[in-house]
Amino acid sequence: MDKKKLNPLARFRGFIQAGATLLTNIHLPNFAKGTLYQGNGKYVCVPGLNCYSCPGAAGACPVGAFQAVVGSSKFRFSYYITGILILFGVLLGRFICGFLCPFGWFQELLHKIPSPKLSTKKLKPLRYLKYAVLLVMVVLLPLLAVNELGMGDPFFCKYLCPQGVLEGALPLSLTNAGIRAALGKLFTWKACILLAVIMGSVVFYRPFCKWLCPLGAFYALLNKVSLFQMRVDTHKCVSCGACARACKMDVDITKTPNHAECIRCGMCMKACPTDAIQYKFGLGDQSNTETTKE
Amino acid sequence: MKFSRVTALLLSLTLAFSLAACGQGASSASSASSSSAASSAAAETKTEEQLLAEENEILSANDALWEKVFASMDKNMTETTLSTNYGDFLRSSVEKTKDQFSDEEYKTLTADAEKIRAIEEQIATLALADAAASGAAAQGTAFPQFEGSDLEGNPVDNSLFAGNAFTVVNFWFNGCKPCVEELDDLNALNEKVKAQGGEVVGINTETLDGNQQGIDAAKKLLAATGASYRNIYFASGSDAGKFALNIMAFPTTYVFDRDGNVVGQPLLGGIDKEENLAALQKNIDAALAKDNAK
Repeated sequence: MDKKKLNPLARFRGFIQAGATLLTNIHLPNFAKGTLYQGNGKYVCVPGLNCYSCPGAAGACPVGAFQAVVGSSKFRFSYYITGILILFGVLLGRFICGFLCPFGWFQELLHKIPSPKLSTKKLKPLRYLKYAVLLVMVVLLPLLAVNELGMGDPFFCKYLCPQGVLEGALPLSLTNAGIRAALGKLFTWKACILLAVIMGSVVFYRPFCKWLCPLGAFYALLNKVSLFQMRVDTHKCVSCGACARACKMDVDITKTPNHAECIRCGMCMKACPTDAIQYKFGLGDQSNTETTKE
Repeated sequence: MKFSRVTALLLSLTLAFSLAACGQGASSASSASSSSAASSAAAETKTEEQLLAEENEILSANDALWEKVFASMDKNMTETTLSTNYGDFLRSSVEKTKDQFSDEEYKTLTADAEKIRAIEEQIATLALADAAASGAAAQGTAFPQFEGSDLEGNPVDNSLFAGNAFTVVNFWFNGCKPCVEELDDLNALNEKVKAQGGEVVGINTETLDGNQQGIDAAKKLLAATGASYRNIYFASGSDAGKFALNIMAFPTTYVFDRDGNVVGQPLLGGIDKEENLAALQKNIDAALAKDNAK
């Protein structure tokens, strides 16, 4: 394989993921102190799924912040968070999943553990589950399941999100006796979910991203209109199918270069023998027929 | 290929090291707290079990006499009888049934009750030491000097603590569902502890600096839940303000003694849950015992 021609983004993706995770959780001393950063950075949300209650977190989680606002008695919809999410989605789409999300990186690292690897091609219908999670747990339940004072719960954070246990509950309870004393049944339930995602990630590639993540679902909706796109040069393509075989998100890039599930990881680019697949950023004709114009 | 393997190895090592670092800090912290608990227990001559066994011995020595006292006891034990010293309770029971006994018998019974009273006091100080050991970090820290006001505008300062045998301070904010859901329980607690010389005080972080919007919202919530106990605020830049804003989990409920010192480990979570109320009651009991011992 000729490495020199590979786009540096795809080539150094692991480093970019590590760097993004570090920047998202830059307040490292807080891990030892068992406290949270509570400064102005928390008024902004980070692009990836990263718990507000992670001791190191530099910003808020977009999914968590959205639910907090929708669930409050004062507001019924969060234009601020939705606006930020649409901006992220239009600029980058699911590139965020592939490059910037700490929980995506966590699952990828787990997948590097040697074990029999299973294909998720037959489990494609499960992909639609994440849209249900987005609609029901992030939007509808916090909005509608409220007490007499109009206050709702952040249902996704409270009952499903494994990142909250990994980044919030676990490190905080290790160093903070008060938090440790407060752990109960809900913690046990979510620790089981985290364990299931961890074990699932070893055998499957990014199971949480594919099937459950509401943030991934939101970016998936914007993937087709995002400025960050994949382009297949039909002149160079020899239709060998290597890209589809290499794709761990079960996308055939030659048919649907901007599929909702494509996280722009660039594995197809690495697999392509003729360098027919490229990243493209910006406005203009995004279709794969573009290069047929001479 | 080699390059990506090296990358993977490096990344997983980084992750492993960072996890190991977390684990290290936590285990050393927990071992420190457990060793301090062990040393404090060793310093005490007798454990709670031993003391309770002594009490039972005293009672069984004059079994027949005590049976008579127990038989004529008032079965409707109220919360106040339960929270007073058991020795005092026995003594008053003996007084009530005085005419059933000879002078000799009466003397034996009152002497026994006196002994039990002394042992109960030892147990109370033990419980206090226990609470101190488990709350090593919070224990002994005093509520900072402050000058503020309640939500009606009446001035409040540190003399608040001196006026009460103990003060339960609940930290909350308007948008916090679990906080709002325990307001009625805190009000009930306030009514209950009045008789013991205690008071429940609320500090709503959104009312700091006399923020009128926050105060109006807080008043509405307090009225809606029927809570009538005092809520106070002060300047957010003051030491007390920093104390309040450094709290990262809501609701958090502290118990302070007459000198304004923290008793036990602050409680995280609402007292509408039984186990949380029990944990708070433990701190209250410790504070009461401490105040009575003076």
